[in-house]
Amino acid sequence: MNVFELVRIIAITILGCILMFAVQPWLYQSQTLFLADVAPEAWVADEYMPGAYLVAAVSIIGTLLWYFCSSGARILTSQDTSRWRLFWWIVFLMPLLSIGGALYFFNKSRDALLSVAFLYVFDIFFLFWLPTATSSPAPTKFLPPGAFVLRRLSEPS
Amino acid sequence: MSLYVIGVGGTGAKCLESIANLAAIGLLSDPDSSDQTLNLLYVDADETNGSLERARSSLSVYERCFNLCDEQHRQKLPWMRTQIRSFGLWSPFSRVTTDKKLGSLFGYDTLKQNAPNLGHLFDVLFTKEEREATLDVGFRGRPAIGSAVMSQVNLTRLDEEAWGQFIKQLQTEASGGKMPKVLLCGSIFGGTGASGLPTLGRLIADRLEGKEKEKEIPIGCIFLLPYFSFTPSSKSEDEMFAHADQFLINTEAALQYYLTQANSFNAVYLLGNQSLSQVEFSIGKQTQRNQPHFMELYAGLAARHFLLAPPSSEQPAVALVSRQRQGRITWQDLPDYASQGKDVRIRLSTATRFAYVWLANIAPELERARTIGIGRFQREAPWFIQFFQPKVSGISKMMNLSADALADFNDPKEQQAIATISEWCQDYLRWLTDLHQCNEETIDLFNTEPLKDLTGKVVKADELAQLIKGTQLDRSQMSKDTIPNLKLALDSQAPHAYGKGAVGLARTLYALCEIRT
Repeated sequence: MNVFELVRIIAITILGCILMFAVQPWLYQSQTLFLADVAPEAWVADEYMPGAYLVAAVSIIGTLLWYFCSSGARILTSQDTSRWRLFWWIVFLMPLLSIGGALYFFNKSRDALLSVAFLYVFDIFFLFWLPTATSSPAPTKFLPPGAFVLRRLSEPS
Repeated sequence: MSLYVIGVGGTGAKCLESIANLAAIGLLSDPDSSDQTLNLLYVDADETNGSLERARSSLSVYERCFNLCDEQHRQKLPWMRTQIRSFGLWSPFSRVTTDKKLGSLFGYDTLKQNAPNLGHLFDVLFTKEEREATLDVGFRGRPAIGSAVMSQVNLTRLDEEAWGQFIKQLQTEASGGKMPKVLLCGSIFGGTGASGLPTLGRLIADRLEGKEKEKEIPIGCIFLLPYFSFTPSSKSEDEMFAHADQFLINTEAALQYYLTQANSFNAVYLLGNQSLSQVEFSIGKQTQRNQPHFMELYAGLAARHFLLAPPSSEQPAVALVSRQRQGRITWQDLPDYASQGKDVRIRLSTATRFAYVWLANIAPELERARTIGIGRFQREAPWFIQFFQPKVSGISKMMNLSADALADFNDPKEQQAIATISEWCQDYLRWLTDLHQCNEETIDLFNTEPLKDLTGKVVKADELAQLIKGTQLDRSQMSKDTIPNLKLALDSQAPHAYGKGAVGLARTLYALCEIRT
């Protein structure tokens, strides 16, 4: 396992958590995203935060699951690598489903539904897609969608 | 310093095959010299000899592979460092317009009429059978016939043929201060080798007598003593052929001759084996195709010793090599195992590992890249874009992320390079596995089962670590010595360290396959 990859995952995760638990709640509390049917402070504390914890936890678990499973994979040929693409998409389902769960179980505001759904989707791109796209271990490093472009942009040739 | 090697007869051709394979992996290169040229000449009356054809085919594969590598990167690796220049095949019958029979060569019928005493002497020396046998299959295991034919050779009259170019090149290098060395090799118990080696050695020494610098050219000879045998088929009863039961007697007679008469050589290597390998009987031509034998590996290592040994103006020292156990060859039994940092083992092991990984994994991967397209393959094999231009589109194209300095995988030249490298790997592994197929001996150098029929074979990840017998890797090192880890290392190499494209990939892989224990 590559130390730099792990450090990158941790750094992106911390950034994502800051977005999710500091910036996004502020958007609702400051009425930038206006909620008419609920009190923003109470909604953030009672409905947004539990949902956000769920989505964040599942995304981070998904990221780590992908990272450690693909690190330990015995990949002999490119065909073996291609089978791991399916695994990535299966693991990606986990945070997607967690969004559904968070919205169903924790959100009672109709006004917030669309915006929080959008924000959760943005969050899982930050907490799952971005770490896997930039920090997957070789030889799976180019498997996540967009990883090929992203890594060539970020790594010197 | 360059080495000029003449392989005489079928065994000589097999020795040249071994020498070419050792040269390919850097065992015949002088680290103190920038000129690494090996010059080869085949001598055989049987121009379609199977062993000779195989040796020449092997050399042709080497030459094509050598020409792929550019000069800039060539010196970085022992692989394909030595240039091999072939002077082709010379037959003692090259200028003969009559039948290739002893009687026709000496004008027997005319002799009998015009000089009957000479004709009678001819009858005393040669039987009617020997006089009338066609010699285009070789000298049929009769050194007396070969010597008579070879004695007709006049090297000064062969300027436009292979010999002429060979001698001219030799003389040019000597006068230019390069101090080349000449080495002959062949069997001492057959027909062509036994007759050709002392005769040609003497002819070359005589030809180089003229100038001071040419006189100093060392001439060596590798004599293969009997190491194989065969049982004649019943169909051959009416024909004249070599008799395996006479090999030892022939050898004894030849050695007596060399001791007393043939002193043209500065160094003599005698190689032989107690157990005689059984080969299929053949009178000559394509069917005389004996598979490589470990004795020829020793002949190649003798050539290496001759090349690298410092010139001696005194009486040559006697070099001895022996093995620890009868019936078994291990790494410790190869020459210079202890004294030269196991160079032979390292080079052979590196080449074998490289050829195995290339054929078992890399070549099929590149074939898959051709089938599914670069766009998809490069995502599944990150090492690919270290050597070949990636396929870029969309954002990548806008950001100009293509690497123009890399080779285009779909270029026919790259595809041809891949095919040529694969061909060399197959030929090398064929030679190596054949060396191990000795029924009378156990060759404990490599585990050859994984090396057979690699095309389309499903390989196991841990086979690589088990290729070399007697390895000193511990368990932890063996568990890390896998093809996946090699490919990870390919991905993290400095770009263009060993070149780009298929050749750069092969050379980088070769460097990574080196194992120093």
